[in-house]
Amino acid sequence: MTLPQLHIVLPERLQRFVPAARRGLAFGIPALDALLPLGLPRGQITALDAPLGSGGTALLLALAEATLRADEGVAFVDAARTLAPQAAAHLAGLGPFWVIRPRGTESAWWCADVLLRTGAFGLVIVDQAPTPARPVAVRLQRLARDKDAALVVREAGVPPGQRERKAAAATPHGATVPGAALVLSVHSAQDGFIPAAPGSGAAWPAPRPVRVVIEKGGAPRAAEVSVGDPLPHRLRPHWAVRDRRGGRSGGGVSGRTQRRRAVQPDWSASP
Amino acid sequence: MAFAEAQALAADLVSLPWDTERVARAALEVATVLLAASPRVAWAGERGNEGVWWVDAAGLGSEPTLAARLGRLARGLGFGRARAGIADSAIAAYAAACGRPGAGRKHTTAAPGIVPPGDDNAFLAPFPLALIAPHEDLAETCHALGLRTVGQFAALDADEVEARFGPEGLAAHRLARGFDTRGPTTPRDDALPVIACDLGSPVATAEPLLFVLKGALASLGSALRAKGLAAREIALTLTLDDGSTAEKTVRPARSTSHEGALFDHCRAAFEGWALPEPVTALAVRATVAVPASGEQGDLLAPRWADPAALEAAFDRIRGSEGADAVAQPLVRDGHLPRDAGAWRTEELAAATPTRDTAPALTLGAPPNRPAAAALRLLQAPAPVRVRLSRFGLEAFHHGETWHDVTAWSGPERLAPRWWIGESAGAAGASLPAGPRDYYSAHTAAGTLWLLFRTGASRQWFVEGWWD
Repeated sequence: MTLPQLHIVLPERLQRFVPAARRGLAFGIPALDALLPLGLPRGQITALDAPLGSGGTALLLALAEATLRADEGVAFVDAARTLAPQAAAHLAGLGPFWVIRPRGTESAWWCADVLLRTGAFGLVIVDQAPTPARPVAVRLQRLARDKDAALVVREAGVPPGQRERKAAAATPHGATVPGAALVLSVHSAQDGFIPAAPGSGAAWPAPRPVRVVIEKGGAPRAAEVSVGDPLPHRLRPHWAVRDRRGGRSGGGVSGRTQRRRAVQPDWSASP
Repeated sequence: MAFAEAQALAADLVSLPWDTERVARAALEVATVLLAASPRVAWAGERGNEGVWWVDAAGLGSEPTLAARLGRLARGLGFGRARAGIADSAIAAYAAACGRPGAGRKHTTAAPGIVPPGDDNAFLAPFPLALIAPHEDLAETCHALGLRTVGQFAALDADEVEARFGPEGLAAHRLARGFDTRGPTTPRDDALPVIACDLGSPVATAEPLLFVLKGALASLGSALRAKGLAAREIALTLTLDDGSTAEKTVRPARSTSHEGALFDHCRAAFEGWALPEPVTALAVRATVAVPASGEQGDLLAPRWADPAALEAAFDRIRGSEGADAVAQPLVRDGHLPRDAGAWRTEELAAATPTRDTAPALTLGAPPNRPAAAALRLLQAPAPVRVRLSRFGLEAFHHGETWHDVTAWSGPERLAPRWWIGESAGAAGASLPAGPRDYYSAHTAAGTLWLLFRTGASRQWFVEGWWD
C-alpha cells in the first residue's frame, strides 16, 4: 500500500478506535464528513482559507449547526460585523449560540481568548479577522487544548482583485494562520451558473458547487459540496418568513408579470 | 374553670405561681436535645405557645424521617404526646401539628402532619380563625361579617384590611395567607465587604495603582462569592496625600463577582480621572450587591460551564467592545435585506418594541437542507460606479477594484422605510429617498453581490454579498 493510500485509509480505520465523545467536530455535510472522518480536531486551530463569496460562511454555519446539535456551545466572532442576522437566526434556537461583534477586527483575538477561557464552548469561530501574530496563535491553541475546544479561523477576506497577490505571499500550504493543525481551502466553482439572458433577470439554476481541499493536516484530498439554494428572481426571504408580497392576478396576466413589467430596468437613464 | 371548681373536682390540686425562668430553663433543655435533629432550633416562647419549638427542616433530607426523629427525641424527654408538623411557614407547620379541622383537636396518633411545598395557603384555609389569634376588635368584626375560617379572612383585600384594622390586622392577614416570619433564625452578616490597601508611599502613576487594584478586586470578588453575592455597584475610594479622598462609583452592566470584569470597569474609571495629589491608600467596597445567580451543573452534560463565569466573560467583552458586542441573531419579518434580521442584545431584549421594529419571529430548527449561502451585509450600503451596456450590468467598481459581472438577476423594486433615515458609505451620507431596484450580480471572481439602484437619483450601491 502506498503512502497516499495509507493517508486515505488510516483515518477511516482509526475512527473505530476513537470514542465518539473524543472525535472532532462534524460539519453535518456528508461529503465534508467523509473528507474528514475524524472531524475538525479539538484542541487545535483549523484555518479556513475561503475568499469572499466562496461559501465559507455557509460552511462555518453548517459546522456551527452540527456542533449545536451535538449539545455543545458555539461562539462566532464576526470580526468584520458583516454577518446578516437572518443568516444565522436558525442556530439561536438549537442551543447556546452567541455572536460576538467587536468594534475592531483587531479585538477578535482578545474576544476569542476570553471565550475560550470560559470553557463553555466546544467551537469558537473567528471570522474575517486579521492574521494573528504567532504568540497570539500559540496562546489560543493552548487555550483550545486546555478547554478541549476547536478553534476555527477564517482570515479577513481579500478583495477578489488581490487574491492572486495574496496567494503568492502565502505559505506553501496556503496557510497564514500560525500553528494551524488543519488548513482547508474553499473555492467556488462557476460551472453551475448559467449566464444571464440579455435584458432579462437571470435566475441561478442550481446551488453553487464549492470545492473544499485539505491543504495541510491530512491527506491531500478534495470534496465538492453544494452551497446555497437556487436564487429566485426575488430576493430570498428566510425560509420561515411568509412572503406577503404576492402579486395581483387578473386580466390574464399574473401578478409577477405585472410587477416585472412595472420595474423593467431603464439602463439608458443610468448614470 | 375557676380554681375553686377545679379543686372541688381534684382535692390534691396544687396551685403554683407561674415561674418564667423555670419554664425558659426547661425549654432550653428541650431545645438542646432537639439540636440533635437539626442545627437550628428555636423556642416559640409566646404566652400560650410555651410548648412549641420551631425546627429548621430545610436541607435535612426526608421530612417524614426528620419528623419521626423529633418524635423519638420528644418521647425520650417524657413528652409522649408530642406532635410534629412540617410546612413552608411556621403557622402552617403549627396547624399541621394540631391536625386538620374536623379530625379532632387531639390526635390519637403521633403521625406527623406534612404540608407539601407551596400548599400552605390552601392548607390553612379550612382552619378556624382562632388559629391566627386575631385581636379582639378583628375577631368581633370577622364574627359579625360571618368570616369563620382562615381562608375566608385570607380572601379579603390586604389594603382594605390594613385600612380598617391597621398593622395588627395586616399581620394577621399575612399569617392567614401563610406568610410567617417566625421560626429558627441565626444572626446574619449583612455587611458588604470592603477591601482597603495602604500603599505605603504616595503613588503618582497609574500602573502601581492598577496593580494593587487588581489584587484588591480579587479579594473583593472572593469575599462576595463567599457570601453568595455579586456586585451591582462598587465604590472606588482613593486617599490622597493631603488627607482628602476621591471616590468614583462603578456599575457593571450585570452584577458580577468576577475580578476580571470588575477590573476592566475600574480601569475604565481610572481613565481621565485627574487627581490633584498622589495616592496613599486605596479601598474598594461593594455598595450594592445582589444574590449571585447559580445553576446546578449537569454531571452528564458533555460540556457545562458556570453561567456566572460565562456572564462575566460576556460582561468583559461588552465593557471593552460595546454593549452590542454580544448578541444572538433573530429573524424579522422585514421586506428589505437589512430589515430581515436583527441582533438580540441586552438592550434590545429590554427595550419596548416600537413601530420601527418589525416583529421578531421565533424559529425552530430549519428542515434538513443543504448548507445555505449566508448573506453578509456591509455596515452601510456603499456607493459604487457601474458600467452598463444594453445587455445590462457589465461591471461595478467597489473596493478599488472593477468587478466584471458575468450574470445578474433583478430588478426587484422595494420601497425603503422612508420614515427613518439611512446612511450610506463610510462618510455616513444619507441614502437617497425613493424606491430601490435590487439586483444580485455574479462576478467573474465567483462572488454573488447584492446591489441596488435608488429610483430617484439612479445612484448604485452595493449592500453585501452571499457567502
